[in-house]
Amino acid sequence: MSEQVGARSGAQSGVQGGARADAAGARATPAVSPVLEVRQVVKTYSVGRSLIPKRRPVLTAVDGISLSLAAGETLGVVGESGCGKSTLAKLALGLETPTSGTVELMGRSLASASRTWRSSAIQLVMQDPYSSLNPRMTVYDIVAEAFVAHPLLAARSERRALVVEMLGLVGLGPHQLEKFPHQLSGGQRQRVGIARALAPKPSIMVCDEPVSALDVSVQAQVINLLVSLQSSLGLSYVFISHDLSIVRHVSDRIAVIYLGRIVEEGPSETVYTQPAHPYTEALLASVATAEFDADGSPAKKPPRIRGELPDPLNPPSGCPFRSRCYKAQDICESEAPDLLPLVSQGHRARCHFPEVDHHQINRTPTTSRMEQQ
Amino acid sequence: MLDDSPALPGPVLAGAATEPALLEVRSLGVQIRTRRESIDIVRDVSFEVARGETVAVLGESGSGKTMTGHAIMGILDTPPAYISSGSISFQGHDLLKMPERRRRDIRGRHISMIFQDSLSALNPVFSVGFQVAEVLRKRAGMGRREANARAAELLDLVEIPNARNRMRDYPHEFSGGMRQRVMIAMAIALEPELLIADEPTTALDVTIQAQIMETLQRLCSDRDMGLILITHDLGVVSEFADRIILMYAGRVVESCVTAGIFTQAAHPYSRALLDSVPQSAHRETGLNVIPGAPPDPREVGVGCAFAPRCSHAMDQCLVAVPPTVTVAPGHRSACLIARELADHV
Repeated sequence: MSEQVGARSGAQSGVQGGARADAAGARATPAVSPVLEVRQVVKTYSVGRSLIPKRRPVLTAVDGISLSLAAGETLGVVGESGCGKSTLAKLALGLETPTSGTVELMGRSLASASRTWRSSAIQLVMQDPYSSLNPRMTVYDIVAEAFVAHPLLAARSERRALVVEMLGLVGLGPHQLEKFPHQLSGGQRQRVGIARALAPKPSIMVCDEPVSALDVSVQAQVINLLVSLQSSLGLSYVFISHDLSIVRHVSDRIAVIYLGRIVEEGPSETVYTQPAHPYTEALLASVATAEFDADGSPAKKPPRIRGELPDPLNPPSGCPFRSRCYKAQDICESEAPDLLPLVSQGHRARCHFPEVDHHQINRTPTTSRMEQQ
Repeated sequence: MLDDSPALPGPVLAGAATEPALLEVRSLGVQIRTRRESIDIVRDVSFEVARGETVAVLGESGSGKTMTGHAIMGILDTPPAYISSGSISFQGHDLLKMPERRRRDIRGRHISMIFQDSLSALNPVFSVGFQVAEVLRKRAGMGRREANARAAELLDLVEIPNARNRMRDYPHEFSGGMRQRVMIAMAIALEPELLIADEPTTALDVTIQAQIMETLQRLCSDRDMGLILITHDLGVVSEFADRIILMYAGRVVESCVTAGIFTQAAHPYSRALLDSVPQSAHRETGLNVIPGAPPDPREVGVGCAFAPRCSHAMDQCLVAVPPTVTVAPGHRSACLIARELADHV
């Protein structure tokens, strides 16, 4: 999956060949075609008040992102607010049309797919269960609305049984059918939100900060629910969150986004334990962790990131992260780095000076070891 | 940070014997009274804060942590909220027995507060510089020019880049992190001895969160200012607090030096809370879950409020609130099996 995207991003062919052979040898899971494939997607918005459209400044929210999601996989998407994660989610859901590039759901282009088909293939779990459920609708109405929108999914007579089934999946009982959202706790509301998303039987769910509005003691319940639903229903998740410890817990792969671009992507343990991009390093260092050394003093951590996200209307030249980066050199100002593969498999970073050097791949035949086996 | 006196319970707590603590809260109770009922929101909360010390009041929503902060600051919405019992003494003076005039003088000048939502706490129709200078003009008797100059210094002090030129900007022209810095500048304008920060970084990105907390920390240690950090974030607490007051359903369930809760938590709630934070070991097993949800304050019974969710609950837990016991110097827990839990690391 990631290799395919890598090839499209125009990396050196030699490296690609090696990486692909590597993948074929090492991957335990067979390479199936992705359920969601985002290719070189760009989304720009024109902002400002000028009457002449050409004079309005252009904000590039998503700047050439390519991603793919395999069946049953969870892709974690992390980044600061304003980095384009939610725009990316909207593009995947078909709620926004890309300015350029394509989005494919199960091999079908989203541009040509009908709204009904699209919304039964991909669904969204929203962040705030306090504002995303209609206060005037009962739990039954909220979940059954999916069948109103998709009448072919269930005959009128079957709907009640199906709603009860959906609620059962998320751990709510039939006695909650006639309740209104205000009669439920935050955790229960988020369960209703998940049941509503499950009702059209999607194969992909986009979870946009699904637990950040919940109490700490309730978050774990919802996370466990999402994980068990994934294995029982074979769902694929795009999991957007700013909570890096939760993303690590649920994700198979992680994409780190900065100013509309992927700056690092890879298997989640690799990204967490060997971050290659200085932004990922900084992001991990910024998280206040409840970790203590043996003597009871807080665990030592690398230096934190300085400054704030630059103005997306006027991003820095070259590498967009250079204005906050401790490694920045002249080349970072003049030349934007490409998203290139690193030594470890499926791990890519967009940096001139990654922690693990990409060029190592070219010089030392690390990949050929796999081919020999 | 714990840089000077790491992990030792001694120095900060023993201070009480020599001079009155900066702030001493004793058996504080806050009720919400309506025509139909009165609901206890804060019950029997006691703790103290020394100069230069950061005390975290940790709890989930509805635990009464914000109400406690508001009661200390003297900004409870009365009615419906009333202080029903206890005392709050600041440098030896009982704030609750003071006439409102004196109380108002203490508020802002000696005890100050930072709120979570900086966009709604700042006035959208006045420039940031005007709002910071206003504090100085109204409360410190400064003239316009002097107040403006001092306001620029304050904005500079809280690390707002290019502070002098940003004085005329309006709150909406600042990012969330920068607005929170403006709030801090206003809060410290009159050089208070005690600062109450109610979820100061909850709405911010992790990268900004750490920067703001570091600024707060620096200001507190430079001025020897006490800080009450109201938060639900265990991570923030672990890095920035000296001591923790853990609240559940209006009561303090455990209080100790920060490292204590991570190394020898003595209450089932704190243990469960720590366990529900994802760690790499949880990937295969799933997260440890605390069943149920925090109780509605109306429905808290006579016993331990955590008992219905507690894996160690016994019959006695439902009969009466467990007494608070000291399990180690400066480490108290309100649980019948606190000692067993503390010994069992």
